[in-house]
Amino acid sequence: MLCIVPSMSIGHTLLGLLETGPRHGYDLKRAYDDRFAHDRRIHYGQIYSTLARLLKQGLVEADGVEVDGGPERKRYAITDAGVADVAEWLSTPEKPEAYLQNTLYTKVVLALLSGRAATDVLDVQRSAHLDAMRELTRRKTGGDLVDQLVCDHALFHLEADLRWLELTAARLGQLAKEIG
Amino acid sequence: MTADANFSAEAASGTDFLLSATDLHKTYGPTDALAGAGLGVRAGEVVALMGPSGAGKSTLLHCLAGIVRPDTGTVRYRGADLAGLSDRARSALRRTDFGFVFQFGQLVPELTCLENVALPLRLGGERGRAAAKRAREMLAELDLAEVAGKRPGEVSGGQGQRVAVARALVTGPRVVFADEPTGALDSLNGEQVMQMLTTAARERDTAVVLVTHEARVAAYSDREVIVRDGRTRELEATR
Amino acid sequence: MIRRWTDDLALGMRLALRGGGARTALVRLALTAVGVGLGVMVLLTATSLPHLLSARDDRGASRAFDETAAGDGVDPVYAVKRDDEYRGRGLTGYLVQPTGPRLPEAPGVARLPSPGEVVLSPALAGLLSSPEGELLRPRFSQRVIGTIGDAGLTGPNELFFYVGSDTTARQPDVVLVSRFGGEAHRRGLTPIELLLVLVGATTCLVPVFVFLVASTRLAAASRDRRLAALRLVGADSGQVRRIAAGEALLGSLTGLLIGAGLFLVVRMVVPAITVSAFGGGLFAADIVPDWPLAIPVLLALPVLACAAAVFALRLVVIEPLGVVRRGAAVRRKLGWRLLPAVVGGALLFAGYGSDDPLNNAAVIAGVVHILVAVPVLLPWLVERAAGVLRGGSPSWLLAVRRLQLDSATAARLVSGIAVVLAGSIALQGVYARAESDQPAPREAEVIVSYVTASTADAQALADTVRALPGQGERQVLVRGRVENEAGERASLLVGSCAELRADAGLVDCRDGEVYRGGRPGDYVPQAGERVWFEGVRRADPPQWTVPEVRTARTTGEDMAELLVTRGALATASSVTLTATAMIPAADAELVERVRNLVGWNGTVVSLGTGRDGTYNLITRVLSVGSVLVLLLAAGSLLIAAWEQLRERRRSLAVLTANGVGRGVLARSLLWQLAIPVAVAVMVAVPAGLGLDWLLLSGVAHRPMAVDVPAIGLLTATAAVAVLLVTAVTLPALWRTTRLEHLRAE
Repeated sequence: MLCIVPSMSIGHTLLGLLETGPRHGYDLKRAYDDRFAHDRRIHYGQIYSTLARLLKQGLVEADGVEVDGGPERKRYAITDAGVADVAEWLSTPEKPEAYLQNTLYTKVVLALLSGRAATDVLDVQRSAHLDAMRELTRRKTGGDLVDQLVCDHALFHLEADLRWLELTAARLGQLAKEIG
Repeated sequence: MTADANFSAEAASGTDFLLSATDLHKTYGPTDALAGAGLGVRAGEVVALMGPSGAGKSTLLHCLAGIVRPDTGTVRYRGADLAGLSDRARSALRRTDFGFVFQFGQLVPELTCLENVALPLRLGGERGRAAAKRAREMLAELDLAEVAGKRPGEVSGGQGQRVAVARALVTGPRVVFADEPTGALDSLNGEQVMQMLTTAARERDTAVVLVTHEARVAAYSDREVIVRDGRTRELEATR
Repeated sequence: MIRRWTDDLALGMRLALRGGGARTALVRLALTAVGVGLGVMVLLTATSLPHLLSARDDRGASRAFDETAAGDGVDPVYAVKRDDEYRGRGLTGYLVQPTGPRLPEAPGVARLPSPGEVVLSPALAGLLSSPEGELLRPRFSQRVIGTIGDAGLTGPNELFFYVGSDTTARQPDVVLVSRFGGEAHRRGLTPIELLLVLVGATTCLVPVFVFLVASTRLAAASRDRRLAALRLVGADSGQVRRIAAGEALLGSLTGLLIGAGLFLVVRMVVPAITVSAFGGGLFAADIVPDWPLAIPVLLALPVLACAAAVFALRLVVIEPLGVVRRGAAVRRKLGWRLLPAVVGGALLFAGYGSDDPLNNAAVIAGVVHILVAVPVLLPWLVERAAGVLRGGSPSWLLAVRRLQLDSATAARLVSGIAVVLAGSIALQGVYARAESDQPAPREAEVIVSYVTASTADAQALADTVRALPGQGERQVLVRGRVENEAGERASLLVGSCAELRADAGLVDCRDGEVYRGGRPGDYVPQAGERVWFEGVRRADPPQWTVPEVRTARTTGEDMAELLVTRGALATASSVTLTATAMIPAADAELVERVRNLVGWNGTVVSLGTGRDGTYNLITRVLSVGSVLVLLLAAGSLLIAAWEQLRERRRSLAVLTANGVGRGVLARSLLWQLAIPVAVAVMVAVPAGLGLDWLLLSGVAHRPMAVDVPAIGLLTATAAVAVLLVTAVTLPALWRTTRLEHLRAE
């Protein structure tokens, strides 16, 4: 089952990819496909429309001039505003939902690529999850049986997220050695 | 925005923490259990210590409770430095101001549940009958009246842990230290224990320092402190 | 504060009663109680020894002749002491002859007997009326007028008598007695006997202490957990120590009661078993502990038990969580462990030489130190030995690793056996030496001395002796001693010519003559001298005028200065002659017949047939004692092995589940016991031999005699004990490895 990925996320993903250095359009698509596309590759069209938007928002800029060629042959570079945007995006926790993994996964890998500590991402996410879980627990404590069942359900899923997070953090620790 | 709040000496002296620890170091043999850990606990709040195993959570708990002396660093309870206290004073502290709920092996198997709960009172010098009465009331409050006459080996795990909670709370402590209290229990029993512990503690304005690696257990706390590689890390609330 | 202390002790006692399930608690309580009880019994008995010996000596002194007192209001009696024998048992008493109606008081006797009467001790009366006393009856043909009470006897089985005889006054060694009672003459123990007692008592006591310490350590792990839980809850270290002491206190108080009970049993049993020892056995009433000595000891034992329990706590007291994380295991140090051995050796060496009272304390202390050195050294040795061993077959590997992890328990288990072994070996050496000191049962001789007033009587005796079966050719010499006015003495040999020829080698002989014998230069009475016979008072007129003394050839070498034919004595007013015969003691009945012949007018002294029961008693007690103590040590071994199994049941069940066969586990259990016991034997044998050497050469000044078969036997017993313990533990092993124990509790 594929998760619906809002377009905002593609933009941020591309920004994150550009953060490591300017790339051509086709580079970006390939990188995205390699790492983030999972089952289905992304359309060129989506990439270009996203890039266009980012360009308009001033988060990326054209880098260098390729004399002839379409968008795929253009080189793009991230701007300061883009960097700031990525930074904010990466350090903002996602609203805890079930099936958050893809975004989380994306975030974590990007964070790693850019040299940020995966643990920071995890800690921040865990804090948000726990707050949500606290709220659920409070609701559960005062509620009736139905409340308890519902809250337990949500709590278990949130916990599953966190457990995956922790395991991921441990794996990434190892991975960091391999990549780095 | 998030910010790290590494616990510093200034923070400790500034706010009125009931129990605070700064820059604790503890080495067991070749391993560093604590390498500069610290935290503060306010009256009546439930704090969860989380982190991977071997990170030093239990050691931090033991240092906070005065059971173990850190190599360096200070632990203050109500302003007084625990290191300066004699063994007698620290034992008295454990008897009157602190309570303990550990994962297993803490009830005296030879005594009945009632006698176990009454034990801190007896050790404090209270007479047998008065101690038994208070213990019975405590057990009744935690829905354990029927196990009063049984031995810990004769009751289920969940009941045993609740008896431990009763024993921890019977002296009206200011802080309860719980180290993986639900570790050996199944989900339902774990829930019951955590519910009782936190409810009773909040009713009595008793702080709880809770070591756990499970998020659902930590969800009963007011805030969490991450313990990693012997260091602590707290995040300010992002609400 | 007192209330707090008593509360803590009471809590400890309650925990002791409940600990680990009622059965284990009771077992541990019982063991501590038994251990303390045995120690109390041994110590109380040992401290009774001084009173025991002095009471006997006092009673013995109370019936001695008081020759200095003048009798006022009392008619003195003639009295002679007689030491006799019946079938090897000592028989002692007095011949008395009253001079008037007001008789002196003798202890335990209602009235002293007149001629024809006799007062007997109860044991003697019983002996006479039993079939065994048949040959004794002729000696006591008088009328029995009463029995001697306890106050007049040194022991309940003593054979003592007062015989009224009208020939008493004529006996050579008679005294006139107005009062009975003299200085107590203490019969001490010979150094060897004393050594046996000391070494034996220490050998019995040290294992008892080891057993005591071991039993307080039973179920140590659960007790440590329990006390750690108490510490967590807020008991401070003083409280925890008091609680632990309370646990031990209950057992030791019970033990005191048991020990007192056992002591009373000992009191009852002792007269029955000490039949002929110490010259007549021991009265139960004499066994009274020396209270100034006994009370500190009685208090010390419970204190020791509590101290052992508290000392075992030292690690828990420091860390309320118990020893949760260990650093590198602490390796034992050798230094202080050598101390007892060195001190003991020094004390024994200090005892070299004289035997003054101070010396005995040094000997006791030295023996105790050396025996204590064994359980002190063992843990270090077992740890080193286990560390040296390498793996091999799975069962060996399991055992070796287990020992390496926890050598303390193993060492503790076998300490008791080691001490008993060392002590028994030392005892064996001392015993062997004492045994060889006993005179060899060579052909014992019976020397008959019959005092007679006429040659006819002497002749009659000689004839009667020769009439006994097999004694037709027996040489019966009749001798006498005479004394002249100047006090010079000469001895006579009296007989018919045929006898003189046969006995002294007199060649020419005529009846009625007196011949000169002896060595040149000896005093020989001259013809016409008037002489008295030996033992006759000077106030009376001389009895004999010596006729002409002829010289004659003699081929014999008799020492008598005068060879007198019977006829020559016809002119004597009265004579005192002694008929002497040497009879081999092989035939006990014959000897008794001869005694009956002689009656009270002579003595029949037998050399080498008397057996003093003292020695036998000591050795019997010690061998029984060491067997009991060995059983105790084996019992403690067994119980500790059971306890170990219980504590390891989870891991053993896991092993079984993993497919480790029962046979392997059983063999590993065997190795686990055998290795420490082997180390213990290797320590105990040299220790025992060394102690033996030190004692014999240093204190008793005798060379060492090593009884190798006995040592081999003792060692084999230890090995068999190991096998037995393993065998008995096996069913428990099968039970523990049942897979049910995998269940979490």
